[in-house]
Amino acid sequence: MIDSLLHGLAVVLQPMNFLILLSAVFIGFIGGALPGISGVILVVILLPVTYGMEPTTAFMLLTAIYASTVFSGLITAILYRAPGTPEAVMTSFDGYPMTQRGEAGKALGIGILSSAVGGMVGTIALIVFTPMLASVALQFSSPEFFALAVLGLTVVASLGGSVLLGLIGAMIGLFIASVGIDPVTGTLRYTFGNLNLASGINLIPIIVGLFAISEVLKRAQGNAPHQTVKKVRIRIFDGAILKKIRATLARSSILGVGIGILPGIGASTAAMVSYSEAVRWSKHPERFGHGEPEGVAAPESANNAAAMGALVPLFALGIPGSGTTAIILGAFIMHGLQPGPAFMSGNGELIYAVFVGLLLVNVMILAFAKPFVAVLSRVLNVPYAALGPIILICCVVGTYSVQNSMFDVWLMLGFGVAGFFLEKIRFPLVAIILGVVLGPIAESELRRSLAMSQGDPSIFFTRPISASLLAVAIVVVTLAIVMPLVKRYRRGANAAS
Amino acid sequence: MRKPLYVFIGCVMVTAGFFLALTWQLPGSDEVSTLIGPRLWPLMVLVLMLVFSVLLLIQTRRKASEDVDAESAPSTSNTAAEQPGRWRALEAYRHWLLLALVIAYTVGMEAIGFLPATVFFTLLATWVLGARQLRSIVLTTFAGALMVAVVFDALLNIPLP
Repeated sequence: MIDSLLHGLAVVLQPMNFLILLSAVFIGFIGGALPGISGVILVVILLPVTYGMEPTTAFMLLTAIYASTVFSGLITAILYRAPGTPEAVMTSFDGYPMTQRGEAGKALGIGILSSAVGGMVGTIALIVFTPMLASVALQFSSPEFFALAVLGLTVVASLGGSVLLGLIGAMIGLFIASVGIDPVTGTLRYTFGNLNLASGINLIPIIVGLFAISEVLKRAQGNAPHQTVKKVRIRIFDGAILKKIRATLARSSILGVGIGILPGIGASTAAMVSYSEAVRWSKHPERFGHGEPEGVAAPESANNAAAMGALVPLFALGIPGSGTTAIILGAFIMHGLQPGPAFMSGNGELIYAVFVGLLLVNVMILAFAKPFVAVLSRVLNVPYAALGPIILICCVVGTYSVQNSMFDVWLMLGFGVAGFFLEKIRFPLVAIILGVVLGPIAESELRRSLAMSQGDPSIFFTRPISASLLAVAIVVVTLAIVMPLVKRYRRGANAAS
Repeated sequence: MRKPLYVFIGCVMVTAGFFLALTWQLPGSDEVSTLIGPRLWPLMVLVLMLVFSVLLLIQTRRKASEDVDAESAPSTSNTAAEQPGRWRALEAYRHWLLLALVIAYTVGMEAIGFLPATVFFTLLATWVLGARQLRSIVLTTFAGALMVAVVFDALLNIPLP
C-alpha cells in the first residue's frame, strides 16, 4: 500500500496534475461558499470539461472539488447564517452566534481546523478500508451485485422529503436507463425510430439539465440575496481552543467516517448526529446554539470525514454513499470505468492518485483557507446576473462537447425544464440520477442471476450475502416510510393528551 | 404545493401507463434465445412506478384531509406581486425569458456560429437576470466569450459549430 501511495504522490506531483488539483481546490472553495452553487452543481458543470482529460486527472479534479466544497460551505454559514452547502447547516447554529458577538475569526478558525482534521481522518479511513472492503467484495457474484445495486438505490431514503417521491424518482431513472439497444438481445427499446436514442440517453444531459439548468431557472424566478464579506482576522491554531475541542474533533471525525461509509446516510446526517453527540457529552449543553466552539467543531469535522467515508462504498463496491458520489459514479461510467471490487486491481494508479490528492486537498484547506476568505470578498460581490449566463454557457457548450451532439443539448434543456417543475414539489432529483447510474448494473446482474438459477428468483434469498444486503435495503426503506408515520402518531397522541 | 403534486402523480401514471403498453410489445422470454427477455426489467420498473405513484396519491389525499383546518388559516400574501419597480413585469417571467434565450442560443450556435451566438446570448441573459450597468454587462459578455473560446475551443479542441 505504501508503494502505491508513493506512486500516487508522484502522479499528483506532476506539474499539470498539481496545477489542476490546486485549481480544483479554489473552484471548490468558491462554489461551496456561494449559496446556490453546491458541490453537486460544480461537479455537474465540470463533468463535460473532464471528458477530454485523462481519467486520473479528471477524478482528481472532481473529488478535490467535492472535498473542498464540503469545507467551504461553512464560510457563509458562519458569517451570514446562509450555509453554502446543506452539510454546513448545523455549523451555522453556533458559528453565526459567534459572529454576532464579534468572534467570526475564531469561529472560522475552528471550522477550518475541524474540516481539515475531519477530512484527513476520513481520507485515512478511505485509504485503509477501501482495499479491505473491495477484497471481501471480490467473492461477490451476480446476485450479490444485484443486491448491492438495490442497496445503492435505497440512498433515496436519506435524500430528505418524501421517500415515495424518491422511490418514484429512482424508478424514473431506472426506466430512462433502459432506453436504447438491449445489450443482451439487441432489441431496440423506446427509441421511436430515433437513431440518437439507440445508444441510450447520455448521462450528461440528464445531470446538467436536472441540476444546473433548473437551478439557474429557479434563481432567475426568485430574487437571490446579494451578500458581501466583512473583513475578519482568522486564527486557526489557538492552543486554548484546540485543547477545548480536541475530544470533540476526535469523536466527531470517527463518527463522521462511520456514518459516511454507510450507503445512503450522508454528510448532512453525520453533521447532525455529531452535533447532538457533542451536546450530549458536553458539561455545558445549555451553551450550544449560543456560540459554543464545540458546536462548530463537531459538525465540521463530521461532515468532512463523512464526505470522505462516502467514497469507500463508491470505490470498493461501486455503490454511491451520497448524492454527489452518485454523480461521481456517473462520471466514472462516462469515462468507461466501473468502480467495484475488481476496480482496485486494474486502476491502482488512478485510485491512489485520488487518495493522495484528497490528503493534499485537506492540507491545502489549512494552508489556503485564510487567504481565500480575503479573495472571497471580491467573488461574493459578483452578482448572479453575471454568474447565471456563464453557468448556462458552460451547460450548453459542455453538453454539446461530450458527443458533439445538438440532440444532447435539446435533451438537457428538456430535463432542465422538468427539473425546474420537479423542484417545486421538492422532488429529490438525485434519485433519478441514482436510477440512471445503477439501472444498467441492476438489470444485467438480475438477468445473469436468473440465468444462473434457471429463472428461480429464490437465488437472491438463499445466498447469505445477497439476502443480507437485500434485507438491509428493505429495512432502510421501511424505516424511512414508517418512522415519520410513528412520529406523526406520537405527535397526535401528545396533542390529544 | 398539493395541486402540483397531483399533476405530477397524474403525469407519472399516464406516462407509466403509456410506456407499459409499449413494453408489452417488446419480446418476452419465450421469444428470444436468452432465458430472460428485454421486457422483464422495464416491466418491473414501470409496475413499481405505478405502485409508488398510487401510494403517493393515497398519502397525499390522506394528508389533504388532515390539513383541512390548516388550510383555513389566512394565506400569506404574494410578495412578488408587491415588489415595486420598473422591471416587475419582466421579473415575473424572467425564468421563461431566460429559457427562451437558451433555446435561441442553441439554435443560434448552429445558425451563426458559437462565438457570435455566445456574445448575443450573454448580453441579453445578463440584462434579463437584472444587470443594468453597461460595465457589468460588457464584462460578463467578454468573460463568456473568452471562456468558450479559450476553454472549449483552444484548450479542449472541441469542434464547436
